[in-house]
Amino acid sequence: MYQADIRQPLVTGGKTYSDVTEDICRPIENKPTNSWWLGFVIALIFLFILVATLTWTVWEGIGTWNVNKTVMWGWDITNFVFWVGIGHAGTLISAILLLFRQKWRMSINRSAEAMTIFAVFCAAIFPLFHMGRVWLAYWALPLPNAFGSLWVNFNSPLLWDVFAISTYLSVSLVFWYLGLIPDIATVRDRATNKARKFWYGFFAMGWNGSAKSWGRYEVVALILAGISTPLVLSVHTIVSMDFATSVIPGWHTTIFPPYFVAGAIFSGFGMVLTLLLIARHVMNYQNYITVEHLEAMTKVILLTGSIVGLAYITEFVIAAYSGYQYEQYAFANRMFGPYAWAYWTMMFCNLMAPQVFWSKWARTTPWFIFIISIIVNIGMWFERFVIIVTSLHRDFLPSSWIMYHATWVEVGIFLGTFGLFFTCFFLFAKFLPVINMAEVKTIIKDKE
Amino acid sequence: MVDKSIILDDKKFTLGIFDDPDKLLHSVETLKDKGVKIFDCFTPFPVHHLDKALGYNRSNLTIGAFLCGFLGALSGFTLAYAMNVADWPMIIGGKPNDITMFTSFIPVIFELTILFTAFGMVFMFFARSRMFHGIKEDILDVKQTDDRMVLAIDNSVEQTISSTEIMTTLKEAGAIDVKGNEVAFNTSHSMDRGAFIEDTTIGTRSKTTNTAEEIVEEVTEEVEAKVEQEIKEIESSVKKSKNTLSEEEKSARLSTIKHVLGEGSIENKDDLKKISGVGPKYESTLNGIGIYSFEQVSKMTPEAIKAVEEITNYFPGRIERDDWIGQAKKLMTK
Repeated sequence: MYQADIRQPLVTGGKTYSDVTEDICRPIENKPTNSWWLGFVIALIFLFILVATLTWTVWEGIGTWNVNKTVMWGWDITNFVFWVGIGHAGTLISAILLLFRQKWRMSINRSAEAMTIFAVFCAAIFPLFHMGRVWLAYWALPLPNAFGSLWVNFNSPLLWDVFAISTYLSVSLVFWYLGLIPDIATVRDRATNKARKFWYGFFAMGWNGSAKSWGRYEVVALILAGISTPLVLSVHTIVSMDFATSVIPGWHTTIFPPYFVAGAIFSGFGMVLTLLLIARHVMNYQNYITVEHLEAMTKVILLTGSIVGLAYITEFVIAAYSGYQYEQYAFANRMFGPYAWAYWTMMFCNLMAPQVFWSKWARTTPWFIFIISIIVNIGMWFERFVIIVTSLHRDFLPSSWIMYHATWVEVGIFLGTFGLFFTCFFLFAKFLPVINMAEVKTIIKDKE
Repeated sequence: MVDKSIILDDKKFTLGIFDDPDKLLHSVETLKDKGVKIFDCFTPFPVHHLDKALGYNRSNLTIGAFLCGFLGALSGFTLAYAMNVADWPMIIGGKPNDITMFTSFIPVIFELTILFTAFGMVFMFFARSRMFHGIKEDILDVKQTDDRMVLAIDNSVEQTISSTEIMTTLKEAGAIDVKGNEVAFNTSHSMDRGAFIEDTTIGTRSKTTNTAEEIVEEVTEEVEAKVEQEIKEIESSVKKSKNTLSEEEKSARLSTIKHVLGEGSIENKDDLKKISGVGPKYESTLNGIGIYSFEQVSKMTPEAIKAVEEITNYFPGRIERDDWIGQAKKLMTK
């Protein structure tokens, strides 16, 4: 295939096939490094915070949170939407970019998909524990009610969410696992001890890389990508309907589905960049996750950030134009009310900050991208906080207006989910190939 | 439905081992032109057009996927309809509770369609490829999941051309190794990966042979390998007690090195640490015996390598395995 000289190679350093295997199997086959242990122990400490605060919530009751009759959704649903949003980049990278034949996805899709799965774990915690009696969570499933033949309500977007999130989690897991099989087989065939041979052999399911299997495998991967693409879009659409189908000023807008999906991809890429910038540095994968990859991702950030920014402004203009005083007040209250600081943080982080990526220097300077990626993460958390809390805290009845502040339990659970997320990610980086070896081997001679 | 030929048990194969996908593809095409029936190819990554060259049709899994998806959609609708319309209609917020609430079913129908498609298709894929947890893998070359591509021809199948002709064709098409009589093995039979990679043709896998010549060859090989192994063992045990070389032997080795690599000097010293396998300490050792530059390293001959290894007590065989010569050549051009 003809390739223009102006294109940059997708994998640098003149790697051969066996170099790829060696480089990527190294963390699995060697003892963990000190930086791995340091990170893992910190993550475990935060995981402990999660367990402790959740235990306290269950033990003492949901009153340990500051959610109440006016602000019935606080940090919990903010965090839920935040984590689900982060989860979107993984499937976007592996599915949508596969359909678009973007080869640069190949060295980042594995870790992005892992991130998706761990983020959805974190997300699921919040609605489950917000139920108060988490041991009754199975009531959300389509089962007959224990007291009669009352079923779940299919008119409710919250039920759609149950279906959407669980489908998303299981399909992402399958997609991820399927992609892992050839690489697990590689580790199996290199294994030098019995335990590794057994476990990687077990999960490789006898993969031997025959041309017949590869032919089927590619068909399966393509179809999975094809169905995962609308799935990604549907999940955050449904999450946005949790809000949009209600009659709360500030939530009741038709712009929500596309705006939430763009926001999810935006925040997902923010998190992917944060993680990969650390991973490529710590694991010495600069030749696989090149500056070209970073640049491509910053372009996605720039695009989706601008879509989100446009949505903010559209929302505001439509509210002003609506002639509906509650809607107008909701937006005026966001901008100039008691939570104005959160609103302007959001505007700065999501609308303004990513615009620096118009500059080539900003797109190709890793430390600078890292800072922006953190800003994007913060900004997208605040977006959900602004949408949820400012819309609720001053409702139709001024006598019930309140200010909402999180308790230490709510803060602890949120910080704790980072512990869960990073614990999973560190284990993943130790036990599974962080980069898809089989796919990268097909492109080591290719250009972007 | 299950493709039986995926299980390679007890079949004997002629193998062509390749390190380049284009050469593999080329040799598949050449053999096909000659009318040779190829059993299958085994590659560490998908090689484009290989399935077409081998004459495989596109998998029918897509049809299965569609059926699963259809079943999912049907289940989604049935679930919602049975619960909210047929069995127990609920009036909530005055919203409709008959079939006109169909629009509310759509998200659930959609999600179940995708769920069923994904799982159905993946399970069909596993079934079709005979993959399940705990199955023992059939491997023809231990590096076929790493960097080697294997072209396998079933010896029991009648071919249009003789087996020697097949083997020469494979060699000409660029196979780095051609083997006449291999059976699939299971990597868990041998834990010693080192032995595999050093020499995959000897003894470690069960082999069946046809002609007396081959048997003799194989036995000789095996004996040779054993002797080599013993020598290595003795060497390494000797290595443990340091300073094994007498002064005379040392100076002999040094003169070999000088003779082959030429005089090195501190002025054109390269950073030998860039070679993987060389640390700061070993670099100074190398400097001590007069090796300073990449150019010298790139000129190494087997005897020079041996001399260097012996004189510096370095791991035997490592210099070749790490391909210092190749590395040095690359580093020189930088």
